[in-house]
Amino acid sequence: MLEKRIIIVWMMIVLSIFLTGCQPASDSILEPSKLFYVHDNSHTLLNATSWSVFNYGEALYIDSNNDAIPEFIQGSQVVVLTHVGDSSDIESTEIFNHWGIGKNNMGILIILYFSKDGDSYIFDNILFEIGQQMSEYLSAFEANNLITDYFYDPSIPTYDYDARLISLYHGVLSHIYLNVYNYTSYNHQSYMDGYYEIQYDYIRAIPKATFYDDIFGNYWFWIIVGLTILFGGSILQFIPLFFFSSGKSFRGHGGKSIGYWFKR
Amino acid sequence: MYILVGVILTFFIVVAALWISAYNGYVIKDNDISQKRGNVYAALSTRYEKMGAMIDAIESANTTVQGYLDTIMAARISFADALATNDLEAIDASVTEINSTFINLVSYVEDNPSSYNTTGLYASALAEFNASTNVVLNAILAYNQSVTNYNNHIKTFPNNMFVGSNASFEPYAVENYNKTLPTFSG
Repeated sequence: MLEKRIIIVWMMIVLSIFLTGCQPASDSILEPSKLFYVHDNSHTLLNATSWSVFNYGEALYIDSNNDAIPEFIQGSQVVVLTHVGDSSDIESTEIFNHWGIGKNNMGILIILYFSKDGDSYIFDNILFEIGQQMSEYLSAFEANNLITDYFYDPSIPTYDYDARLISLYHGVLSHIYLNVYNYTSYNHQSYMDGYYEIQYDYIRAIPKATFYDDIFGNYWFWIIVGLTILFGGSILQFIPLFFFSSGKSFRGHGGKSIGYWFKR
Repeated sequence: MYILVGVILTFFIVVAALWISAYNGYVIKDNDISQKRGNVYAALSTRYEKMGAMIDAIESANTTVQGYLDTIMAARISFADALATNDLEAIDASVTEINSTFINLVSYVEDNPSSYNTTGLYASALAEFNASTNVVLNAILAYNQSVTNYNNHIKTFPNNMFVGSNASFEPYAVENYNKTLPTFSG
């Protein structure tokens, strides 16, 4: 009798996984990465570049949630996305709003477009999209100046788009810390020096989003859990799934964009 | 007798429910269009401010450029007057005039880079203008979606029996917004 019940419960678990997997991805919109602040599926960026973006992006989010900061401008997030292929393949505003970049609409999305030539990537364009509330503090005019000053910094070789991205990223963070949160200084050069020391190091593997990460947000899963309990099963049977899905996932906080972007 | 009363009562209840649903849907969708149209005008007004910044970046103007600037200036005044009087036709006419002339101006400036677009100020103004154009486009697409929802609502059965006599809305044309503007060198 007990064996029969265990078999039924496990069949339910398998069914829940199957039905969850059968669900189409929401309108085929690109999903955020597990690190959230950097999305580089094609591995166009160096390992240290991705980790640098992640570390400083998360640090900004934590710093900007300080209680001393007015609530309506808390929660800045700056996200980097790389895309290999035609720029018309992706719709930046749709991605921005789907990912919910930034709390209180204090988000920025930077997209680097590449084309592939043999085994190497060629940088094509950069797209800069600014969240609704953030646009009060950073205009496209100023953002373009940041791109000129930091991304196209003549002291950084043209081929080194990793360093150019990190330079721009710190340039954007500098603008936010100094102009939005009234910090008194931001030492861009020291951050660049720190980056150059580790630029070609392998920090650690970039975690990938797995199927199990999303299972608890799927209604099919909870229907099956309900049915399982109804048939006399125990919630404890689902404990293994909690282990599979363990590991912190970083995420957006509902930020919206009204399409305030430019490409260059 | 009771059956007949019951049938008639049910019929009237169903008709009343359909009428209420059609009418309320009509009011909600009509208000939604008004709000989205307001968003389009707000985005357009902001965009025209950005145009001013970009025009300021053009340091010297020849006759051709000056002609464009005069046209834009006159159309901006018409736009402001039409907004004040809520004259929708005049608003649309001035919007079309401003946008088509401005696109011509930008193209002209881009075709004569040595004279006009060498300054960083111009490049950043163009970025600002592109970004505000995208905001307008976004607002127009949202407006057009609301217009489609409204038109579908009043023209489909059974709503057309109750609210079908109301005028349908025309979606915005986007020919002056979805053009890819000239790019500039980094």
